Formats: sequence, structure tokens, C-alpha cells
Amino acid sequence: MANFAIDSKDNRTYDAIVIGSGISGGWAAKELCEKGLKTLVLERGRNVEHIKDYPTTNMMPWEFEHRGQIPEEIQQANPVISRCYAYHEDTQHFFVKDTEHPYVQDKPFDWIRGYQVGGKSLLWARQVQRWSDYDFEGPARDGFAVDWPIRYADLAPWYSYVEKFAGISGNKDGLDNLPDGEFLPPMDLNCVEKYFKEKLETQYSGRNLIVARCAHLSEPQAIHLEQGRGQCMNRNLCQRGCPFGGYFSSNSSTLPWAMKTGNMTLRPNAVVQSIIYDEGKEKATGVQVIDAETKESIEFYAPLIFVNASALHTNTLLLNSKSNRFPEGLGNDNGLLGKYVAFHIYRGKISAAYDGELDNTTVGRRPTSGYIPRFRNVYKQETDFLRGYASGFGARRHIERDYDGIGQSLKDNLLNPKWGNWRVNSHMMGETIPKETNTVSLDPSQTDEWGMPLLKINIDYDDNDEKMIQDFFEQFTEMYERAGFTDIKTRDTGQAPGLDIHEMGGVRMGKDPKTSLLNKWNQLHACPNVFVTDGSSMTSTSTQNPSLTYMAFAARAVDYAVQEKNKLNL
Amino acid sequence: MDRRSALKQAALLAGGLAWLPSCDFGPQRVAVALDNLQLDVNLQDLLAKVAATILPSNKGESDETSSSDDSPGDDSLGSEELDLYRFILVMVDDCIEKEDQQAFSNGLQQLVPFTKAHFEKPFPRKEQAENEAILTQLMEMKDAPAAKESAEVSPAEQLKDIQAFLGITKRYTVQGYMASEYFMTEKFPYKLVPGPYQACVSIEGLTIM
Ligand SMILES: Cc1cc2nc3c(=O)[nH]c(=O)nc-3n(C[C@H](O)[C@H](O)[C@H](O)COP(=O)(O)OP(=O)(O)OC[C@H]3O[C@@H](n4cnc5c(N)ncnc54)[C@H](O)[C@@H]3O)c2cc1C
Ligand code: SF4
Repeated sequence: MANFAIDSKDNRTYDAIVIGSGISGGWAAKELCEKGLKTLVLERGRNVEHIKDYPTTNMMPWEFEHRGQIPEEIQQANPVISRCYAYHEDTQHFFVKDTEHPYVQDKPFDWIRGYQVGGKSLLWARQVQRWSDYDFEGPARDGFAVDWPIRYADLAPWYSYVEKFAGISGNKDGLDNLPDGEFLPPMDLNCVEKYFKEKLETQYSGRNLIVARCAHLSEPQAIHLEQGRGQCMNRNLCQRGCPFGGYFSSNSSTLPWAMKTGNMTLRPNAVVQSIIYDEGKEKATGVQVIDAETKESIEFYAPLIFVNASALHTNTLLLNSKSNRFPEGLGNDNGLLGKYVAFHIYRGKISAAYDGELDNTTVGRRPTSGYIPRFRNVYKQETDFLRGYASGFGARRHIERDYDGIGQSLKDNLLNPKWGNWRVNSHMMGETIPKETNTVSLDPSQTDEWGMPLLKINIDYDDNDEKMIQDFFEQFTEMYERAGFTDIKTRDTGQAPGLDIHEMGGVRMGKDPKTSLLNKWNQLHACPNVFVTDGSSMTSTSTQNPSLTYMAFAARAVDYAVQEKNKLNL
Repeated sequence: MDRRSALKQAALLAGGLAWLPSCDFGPQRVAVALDNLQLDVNLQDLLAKVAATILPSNKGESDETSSSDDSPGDDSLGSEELDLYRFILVMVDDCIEKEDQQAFSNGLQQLVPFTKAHFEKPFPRKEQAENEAILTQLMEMKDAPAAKESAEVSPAEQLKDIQAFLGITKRYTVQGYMASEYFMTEKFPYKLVPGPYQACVSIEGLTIM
């Protein structure tokens, strides 16, 4: 009898279902639960509970068998993930191995994934710059992709809303291309960064260096303490999971909050295969799930579905949700699902030496860096390429150790390091143009262990990207020279798209159902009880890190969805 | 950073562990278990000897009670007390490519025969200074000695492997040393929670960490 109850359709019916528990899914879950909806959160990976499941968080460097390095055999077997800068012995358990979850690269694409409760929110670099009107107006002004259905003003209150809860450290810089937000005290720029800031701002107009805004509790407020989180202690070992809850993750913040309402049911190891569409009701009615461990198939039902599986997974899932009404995938009447995927260019790097400030240095670790907002083509189109790039910028005092010789002299050298000069580093974060030819699709014959078709990724750089990379090198070389930096070294990493980990699009928003999949509320035009609020919904990519924007969209969409539900429109 | 208090803190952390007795090369030693390399106890001992030559111990050279804060080199542990050869073996076994593993293992095996055949005094000797001289000479050698008629592997090839072996061993000895609990608690104390980031601090009176 008890079994029957568990298996009954009633017991598998909720007010809402959220697919994915990462950065955006965590927000959808929190908002839905707070508004009183019984919400089922489905996550394909294992459960990861805040603090309890951070196995390496308090380990000392010498406690790692390979002192942080990933063994050769694992690297050889998993070349894609091994290229990610954050994949080390202390964080490897939060990354998806290539071998375990294959995909098809029509062109090289480094797909970096985290399958677990919390998704990539445990791994991210926590950079949270708002987008501005120059970003939302981009496609319309410059004639690419399709016009965004919203503007900055639509999102601004939702940025504020999520910033206050997540806790963002930042400075009010008063820049129109990088709007200010609700900030906790900023981190500091160091002496050389301040020096470069001043050089830039006196020698150029519209080129600014600020301290990057980051999702860290530099001074926790009541709302953060209530979440059980505390002050960021500047350990900068965040990717292991933070025992203080010093940075924002779904695990430390949104999910426990949702859980506390008593309205959330979290089901890890649940791979969602497809969304079920009922032709009679002209609605999505639930989801088809495979248990990741037992491979058992099970269905769950809800009148409201949020898709937050991360950009490319959401494409996969919608493409795989086929029915008579939607033979090409859910909501895909115009055939644009999986197209216009775009990303950020992280290929350009530039470093140099500075021989000033030799009396000073930094002490401790800082979990963020300097940031130079986009200064190319902001107010008008002024170069022969579209859009532009923001840049990270950081300065560090070098410590010199002589590794020559062996024996006592070598040992003395190791024990007696000397102050070197400062080095500065910068890397670009460029906006790519979403193009119809940059696509993801389902492989017609190959499936994974759980019966899902493998995703085929066909994404590449174009001429606009190459020109932008050259421009970054030219502009930064000039800026560095003018600041008196020497030994300037530029480097094109040549890395494949994907390694930026800012893949976006494929289920883009727009005003017109003929040219977009989602409306301005992140609602499928053709299936309005399904909302998509992760990176797949982005119409264009801007230059700023995207996740804060996904959070704002998720909170905004839930607010709208629940209003519509209450008005019985859904 | 106040070196004295850091040392005190480090001593608390490390407890008595840092002052292990030096390892004993007696016959009861068991070889480190390896996945890819095949090296018996004798070769592992030889590796330990090479590592100890690269980073010797000074323990006991200065009087314990007066061990001075100002000259950290005076009384410091070396490869032997820190068992660095174990770390080297683990890294070579797990973290380098097959080709380099092969060169490492060839070089290690050829070290003694090569010095026997071509040097006045073979490795290892009793005196640290002599061992240092031999390894330094090997590392800096440009031309291999002429081949003896009976040699199976040419001295040039042997030397190439020996140099590769010494390069890898030095790299991991240094890494193992600097990432050892001893170095990171007593010499350059590592803090899991380092305290607030200070963006601009005068270097005067500051110890490099
Ligand atoms: C090293 C690193 C650094 C980064 N730095 C930054 C940064 O500084 N700033 C920034 O804005 N962004 C950064 N990012 C990117 C950021 O992590 C992502 O943009 C963000 O996590 C995306 O949120 P999401 O909710 O869409 O996806 P995720 O956080 O990836 O969550 C998606 C979840 O859905 C689950 N899922 C997928 N498919 C299914 C399915 N079929 N059924 C059930 N569950 C499924 C996944 O297992 C995952 O848990 C970084 C990422 C990494 C890895
Ligand atoms: S820097 Fe802050 S958030 Fe990151 S691990 Fe340290 S305390 Fe936690």
C-alpha cells in the first residue's frame, strides 16, 4: 500500500518543476518555494551539501598526494577538462570528466561542466558585472542577431533584488557602461593597479580600471547571516567550496533557503530526458526522467516548468522533447532552436613588467582582480569590427628564487628568496556575435549511458573575433607602453570556444515568435508554461560575465509566472 | 609577518612530527609501491641518495637551542628527513609522460655503472661534497666519453638518460621540498586563512612569504 502511494501519479505531481540546481536553477527554486509553490528540483548529478560535501576544503597543500596536479593518465583521458584553469587535484570532484559524458565536436569546443547539486556555482570565479543598455541595445543598433525584447531598465530592479540576497562586493564607480549595483564594501586595488588606473583615466577618455565586482560577503548583512553564511576570509580557495559560505553558491545560499520553506523536494541523480507535451491541453504537463544510478524511468508532473540545465543542456533537452505538435523539439516552430549560439573570447593575454612601487607589496589573497569595462564601440561603432571586450587586470609583486645548482647552495637559494619587480597581467573577455551557423544539435545515432542523444557542437570563431583579438593586443600594448610598463608580452592562447565557460544562446529571447523562441518573460512563445532562464535564453552575449544576469532573469521570470498562474492564465 | 609567532604557530601545528628520525637504509625497508615504474628497493635507495645530494640536511650542524631566526639555512632539514624520494617516485609514476618515465628509469639504472666506467670515483661516495661534484659534472657535461668496445648502450645515450633523470629528480626534489609540511610550516608558514588582503604594504621589515 505504501509503495503504491509513492508510485502514484499524485505523489509525483508538484506545483512546479525546476530542471537543474546550478546558479539559475537555485534561484528559480528559491523564488518558487518562497511564493508557496510545492517545487520539485531535478538534478542529474549527486547531492552536494554545503560544507559537509566539500572534502578538500580544509586540506593543506602538502596533504594532496600530487600537490595539486592531476595525474597524467587522467589528463590524457580527459583532454578537454584538463585545459580548464580551475581543474586541479583539490577541485576535480566537482568537474565532469570527458570520458564519462561524451559529446560530439564537429569543431573543437571545450565544454566545461559540473554535474552535481549546485552545478557550476561551486566552481565559478564569482565575477558579477551588470550588463548595461549598451549591451541590450547592441543587436538592434549594430544589426546582428535579433533585438532583445527588454532593456536594462526592465532588469535593473531584479539585479538589485538578487544582488542583495547573494551579497556582492563592489565599488560604486558611476560608469554608464557598467551600471552600479547594491554593493557590500569593495575589495582593494593594489598600488600598481591604482597607478595604472590613474594613467588610463588621465590619458584616455572612457577607459577605466575598477575593482571587479564579486559575489563575496565582504561585510555580511542580516540577510546573509540568516542564510547561515559568514564573512569572506580571503582564503581564495573558493573552488573547493567555502566552509564560511563566503561566496555565493546555490549550495550555500539559494537551495538551503528554498529547503527551509518546506516547499522544496530535491531529487539528485535525476537525468531529465524530455519535457512531456500534452496535445489535448496544449501544455507541457511534466518531465520524463531517468534515474542516473538505477537507469529506471520515471515521470513527474507539474503545471509550471523551469528549465535551468545550463545553456547547452537546455538546448539538448528541448531538442529531445519531441511530440507530434513539436517534431523538431519543444517550442521549435521556427527551426531556430540550437542556433545562434555564442560565447566569450578569452584568447588574448598580455603581460608586462613594472619597475616602480618597489618599496611596496601586497599581503594575503584577494578573491577578485581589477577590471577594465569595454571601451571599444560603446557609444558608437568606431572600428572595423563589431562590439568589443572587457578585460581583467591584475598586478603582483614577483618573488625571485634562484633554482641553480645543487647541494647547500641550492638550499640556501630556496630559503632566501628576494623581492623581484611587479608584473601586470591582463586578459580579454570579448563579445562574439551570435550567428545562425553556430549551432548545437542532437547526434542522429549516438546516445549516452542514459539513452540521451549525444550533443553535436558546431561552433567557431569568425573574422570579427580575429580582428577583435588583434585590437586587444594593439590597444593594450599602447596602454602598457604609455604607463611605462616594459617587457610586454602578448599571447594568443589559441584556445577553442567553450573554455571561456560562457556559452550562451540557442533558445534566444525576442519579440517575434518567428525569430525567437522565448518572449520577454523567458517563456516559450509556443508553450507558455515552460520558462527558460539560463544562458540559453541570451539573445546576445555582451562582454560581462553572464551568471548574474541569469539569476536576475530567473527571479524575474518566477515573479511573472506566479502572477500569471494566480490570474489563471497559465 | 612576525616570524617568531609564525614559527610558534607552525610548531604547534606540526607537533612533534617534523623531527622524524632520518630514514634508515637497512635491508628491512620496503619498496614504494608503483603503478608504472618498476624500481626495486636498491634503486629507490639510490634515488634517495641522489635527492639527498641535491638537497642535503643540515640538521644538527648548529646547536639546537640557538637555532637562529635570521639565517634559516643553518639548521634546516633536507631531502632525507623529509623522505622526498617517495614524493619523487609518486610524481614520476603518476604525473609525467611515458617517455620521460622511461628516461628517468634508464637514467637511474645507468647512473652507477656510468660513473664507474667513466669517472675516477663512482657515485655514491661518503662525502656530500664529492657527490655534489659528481652530479654537477654529470648535469653539465656536454660531450659523452668515448664508447668502450663492449658497451651495449652508447655513452652518449646513457648520458642523455642520466641527465633527463637528474633534471626530473631535481625538479621534484625542489617541488617536494617547497611543498613539504616542514617548509610550509617552519620556513615559509602557509596559512589556510591568511587574513585580510592588504593591497599596499611597505616591504621594510617584511619577511617574504
Ligand atoms: C571555473 C569557472 C569559472 C567561472 N567564472 C564565472 C564568473 O566569474 N562569472 C560568471 O558569471 N560565470 C562564471 N562561470 C560560469 C558560470 O558557472 C555559469 O554561467 C553558471 O553556473 C550557469 O548557471 P546555470 O544554472 O545555467 O548552469 P549550472 O550552474 O551549470 O547548473 C546546471 C545544472 O543542471 C544540471 N543538469 C544539466 N542537464 C540536466 C538534465 N538533463 N537533467 C537534470 N539536471 C541537469 C547540471 O548537472 C547542473 O547541476 C564560471 C564557470 C566555471 C566552471
Ligand atoms: S575567499 Fe572567501 S569565499 Fe573564497 S574560500 Fe575564502 S573565505 Fe571562502
